Amino acid sequence: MIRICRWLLLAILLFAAISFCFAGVNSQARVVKLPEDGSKWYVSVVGSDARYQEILGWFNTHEKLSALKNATHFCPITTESPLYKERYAPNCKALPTVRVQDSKGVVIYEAAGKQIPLTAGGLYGAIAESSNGHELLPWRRKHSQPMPTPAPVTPQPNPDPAPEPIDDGGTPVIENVFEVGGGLLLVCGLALLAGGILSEWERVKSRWSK
Amino acid sequence: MTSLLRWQGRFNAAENIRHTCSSAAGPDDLAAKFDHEGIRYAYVTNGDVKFLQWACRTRRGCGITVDGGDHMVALVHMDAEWSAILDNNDTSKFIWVPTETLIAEWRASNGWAVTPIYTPAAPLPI
Repeated sequence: MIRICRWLLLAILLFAAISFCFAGVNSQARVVKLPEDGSKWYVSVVGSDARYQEILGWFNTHEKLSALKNATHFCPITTESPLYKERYAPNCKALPTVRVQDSKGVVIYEAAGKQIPLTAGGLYGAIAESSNGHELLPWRRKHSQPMPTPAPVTPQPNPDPAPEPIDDGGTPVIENVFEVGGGLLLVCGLALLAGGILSEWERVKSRWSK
Repeated sequence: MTSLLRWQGRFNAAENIRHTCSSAAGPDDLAAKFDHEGIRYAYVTNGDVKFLQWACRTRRGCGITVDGGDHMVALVHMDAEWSAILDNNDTSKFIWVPTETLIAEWRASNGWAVTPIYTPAAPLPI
């Protein structure tokens, strides 16, 4: 009976040890590197027809457009997409549309319909030109140029004297006028007394000598 | 989570998750589901606010637990003062909450936040 209990206890301990090991493996946290891509630009290609597919293909086959695609948030949007209905339909002038925006949403380049260049190289050139600030969309100019700001206000000298420091406690140090005056009077009095005694002594001394 | 997947252009994945994932799924269940669907994602279960800040800074947003861990909402904006959430029960309007209050609620609700990692929708043109 004791032997059976021992074996049972051993089996329980063995099971507990194995469970603990596997639990340790399962609870290992996976750590992923979170992309810090909040400042990336956005490239949206919007449409649904053959021309849209052709332009979309340029971003895979044309070396520079492909590099641009990899360096930005690339958003291919079909007209069937709910995102198109909510976020693109109200502001796309024609289809297809190619739009390049900075991270804040400012449109750097936009071309729609027949405005889109015929070739991949042409499209890249147009985007490059706009992103260098040479050809801003007319309705964008006011957003991209520095806005005038009010002139800085020159601080005026304060005519009021600087406030006195606040003494928040303690006995103020005040010289005791009466003590100083009393000392002076005492010295004067003693001097007069000494003078008087001296002169009286001289007078008495002269009388005695007579 | 469906809103976040749609926001990041994963419409099919959003539909799959919507139909197959229980609303009561915990971090492990959802991670297993995402792994099965091949969805890229990241999550924390320790109430680390830096994760929320990253998710909002990169315009991805993230799902966060509220209501003691019984409900999940989408966090779509966070600054020092205010945060905005979208509740799946009504995504037509943002719910603005003081950031401090939101963090307190989240941490008291298991501090679980999760987001897919894809391309966020482009901003509206300015």
